[in-house]
Amino acid sequence: MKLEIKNLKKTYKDKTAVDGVNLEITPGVWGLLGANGAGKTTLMRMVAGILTPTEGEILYDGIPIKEMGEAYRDIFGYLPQTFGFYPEFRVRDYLEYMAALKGLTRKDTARKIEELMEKLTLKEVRNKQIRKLSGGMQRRVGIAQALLNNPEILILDEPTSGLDPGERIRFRNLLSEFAKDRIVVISTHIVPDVEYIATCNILMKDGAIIDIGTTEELVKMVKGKVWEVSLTQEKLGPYEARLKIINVRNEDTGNVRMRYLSDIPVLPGSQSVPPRLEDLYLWLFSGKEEA
Amino acid sequence: MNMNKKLKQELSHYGRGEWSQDSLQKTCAAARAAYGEQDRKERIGFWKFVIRQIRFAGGSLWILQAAVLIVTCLTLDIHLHAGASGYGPLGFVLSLASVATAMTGIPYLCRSVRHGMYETETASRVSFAGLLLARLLITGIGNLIMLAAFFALASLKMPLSINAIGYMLLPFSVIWLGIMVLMRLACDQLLPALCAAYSIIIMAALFALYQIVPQVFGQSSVLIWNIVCIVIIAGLAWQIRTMAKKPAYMDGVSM
Repeated sequence: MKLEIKNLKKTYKDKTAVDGVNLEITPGVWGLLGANGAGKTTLMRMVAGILTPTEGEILYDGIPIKEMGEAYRDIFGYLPQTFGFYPEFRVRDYLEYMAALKGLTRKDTARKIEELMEKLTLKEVRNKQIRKLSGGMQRRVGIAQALLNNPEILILDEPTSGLDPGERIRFRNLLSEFAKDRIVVISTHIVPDVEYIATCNILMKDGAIIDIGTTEELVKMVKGKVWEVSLTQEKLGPYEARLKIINVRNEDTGNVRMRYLSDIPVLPGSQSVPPRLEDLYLWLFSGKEEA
Repeated sequence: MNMNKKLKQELSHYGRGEWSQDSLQKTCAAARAAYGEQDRKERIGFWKFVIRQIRFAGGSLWILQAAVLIVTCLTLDIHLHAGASGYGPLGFVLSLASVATAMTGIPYLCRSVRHGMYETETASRVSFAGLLLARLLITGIGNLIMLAAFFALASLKMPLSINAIGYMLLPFSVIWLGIMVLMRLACDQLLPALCAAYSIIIMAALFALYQIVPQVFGQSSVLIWNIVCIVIIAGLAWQIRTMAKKPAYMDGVSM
């Protein structure tokens, strides 16, 4: 099972959204990370087969997905970033509607809906109108529809936005279990959601892939550039505008502990700490100048 | 070239020349084993899909069509009681009724884009093209019943030859052709408004024709209506076929 992306390009009148992307995606969880406007959603739509590439092609097990047509969509699950629904739909109605679009028989529909409602804790809201649910609940319904046809390839665009921490952990566990023999690609800004489960991460900027690798491989880029220091609240002010601050937390002593990115330690007493994927994300995609 | 054609082409060349019985048997055994290991997915066909779609919006669509049918029949009846008779007035009224009939499909055909469902539907197995075909069929059933009812009511007032159906089918086909073209070219949030505006323009054009050149609705013109209708229906069939074969692409769809 392999998804090959070859020299993929998508240009519009005034912009190149995806610029010469080459990837070989094998079973496992792949995190697609990048800032807004990096081209992630455009790339995902082309992989989903719903957007025409300007150049290049996508192959599944050596066959162009354009030629596969319905056969490709049959093995595909997709959750778009913007998730819509008809206003009259209750949760169950929506899943039955999507199951019909995916060609599931009535028997498979009933069985699969019960299974997914259980896994995504949607049973209590099965008869509620989707528009009356919270954003997080709506997102879970969206994830459920993507999994209805037991897809071999699952593409999720910002799947965890709106989910609370408990829901995100449950979702990560569900995905880890699901991805054993399948290809799962997750595009997200919430770096911890992929940090612990991604087999591989793809970093995307300005339409191009800037790096690919496991979390351990990629964070080496910022090794020796992540610092922590304790300082008073008053001293924090001047540095907030100058430094790439990752986070600030209060200490029992009344000071604050600041984690920041820099080629060299800027503040006296700064200690080098092991980098995380989130540190790398901020290093690559935040707009501030380096110290 | 699609996969089926490519496969047929490859298979037509395969097997020419020497082959070994032993290799053939091993290949057959391996193919059977691979097939047996596959997770065989049972999938419904297009017609079962259409039937399942009726549940999701067919009801509300048909209620709308029934309401428009009743209102239009009452209007038609009042108009005919008021003394309108003859091919001219009847033809004009039937053409307006057919435009109203075609317009009942606009909310249903355009709802995917209106409610942000287009992307999810396009990525599904049936895809938006299949869904659109199903919607056209469901809308079409109601429309045909409406057109038949109008024709029957008009025939009660004055004997009409079957040719007179051209007064209805031509404007009806023109509206649907326009809707199909708009869906292909401007599938965004403005689509329902564009379709409605287009339909109102056609209605206004029919009014203008009736005022300026009333003989267009006369018995002598009905043959021309039918000939033009055949051309428009052919165009409509081609549009629908193009959309049905269209890859599931979102290009041109503004969300």
